[in-house]
Amino acid sequence: MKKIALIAMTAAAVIATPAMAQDVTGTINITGSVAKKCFVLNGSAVSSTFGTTVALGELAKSDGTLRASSDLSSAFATAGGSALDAQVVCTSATPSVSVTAEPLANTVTADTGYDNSIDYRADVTLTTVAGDVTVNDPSSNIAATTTNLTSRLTGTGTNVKVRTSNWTADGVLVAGSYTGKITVVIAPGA
Amino acid sequence: MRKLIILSAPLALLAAPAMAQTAVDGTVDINGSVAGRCMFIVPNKTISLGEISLASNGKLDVSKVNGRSETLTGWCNNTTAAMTVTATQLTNATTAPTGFDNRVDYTATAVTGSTSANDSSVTAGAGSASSVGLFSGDIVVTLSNASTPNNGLMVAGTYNGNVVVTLTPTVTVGG
Repeated sequence: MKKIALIAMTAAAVIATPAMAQDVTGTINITGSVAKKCFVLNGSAVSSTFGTTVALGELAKSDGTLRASSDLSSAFATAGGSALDAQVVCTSATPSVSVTAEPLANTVTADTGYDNSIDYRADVTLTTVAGDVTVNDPSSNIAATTTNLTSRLTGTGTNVKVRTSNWTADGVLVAGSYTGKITVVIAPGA
Repeated sequence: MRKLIILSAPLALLAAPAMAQTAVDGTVDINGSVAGRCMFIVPNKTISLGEISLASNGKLDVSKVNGRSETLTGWCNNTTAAMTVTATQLTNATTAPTGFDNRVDYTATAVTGSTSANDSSVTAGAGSASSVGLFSGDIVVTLSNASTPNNGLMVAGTYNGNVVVTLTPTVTVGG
């Protein structure tokens, strides 16, 4: 009799127990990406270049030799003004920087005792999250000076400054126009 | 005399009427139940946004996010079934310095029939539940209101997030 009752109870339990209500979930995964890139910000304007023309005026002293280096360095910064400073941002963490300084040259031939090329050093200071990094490239060396930043360029404010130093020439400068160029290339890097 | 009695015995047998039979029946009750239940037929999809920053300035390109959608399929068999959405922001593991962002927020809206539920990834957790009742069919999930915390430059790399749609069989919405 006890056995029969047990069986009856078990059967009743099976029939009466409803399946438990359970939450179910559906998932939509969302993926996206941001490529490595660099650009120049000027306020809200965005471009791929920055720069200006720096007119140094008379390069020679009254004796025909090059003005003092400190004088030219100061003149360069003053004439270039704020255009020598830029905000460059990169989405990548370790941009690469290349600086190439080309001497100021005059196409007029320089005889012995004269010079038609003025060398200097381009000093480019980059402000990174970890601090300033300066890349120096002498115009006497044709090759660019390159470096890989180890931290990100700051995301706000001016973070690239171009200055010059170590201006030098041999002898009397031949008359005429002198042109040179500093090229700064900032790339996203690895 | 004894013989007569014996002979009458068959008469007695003949006279005995059959006893009246009352109809009886036995009953087997049958019962069963169907639990409130929901199920996804298509429980997973992926929305690939591709490049999400503007080539021009490196900030979020909201057009890559807003309006993007995918469709799940499911059903619920209960009048009190509810649907909730949990949107989790897209993030990049790389640290974002000042001026940069490594997070993309958005609103996810799930629609089935005339019922919708939504959630913003700006705040953690699920959005409000909406009653879906009995339904069977598509659940279209659409993204909108894309933004970054600082409207900053997007840090390079991969961004991942997700939208979870939860169907609950027995919830009284607003009760």
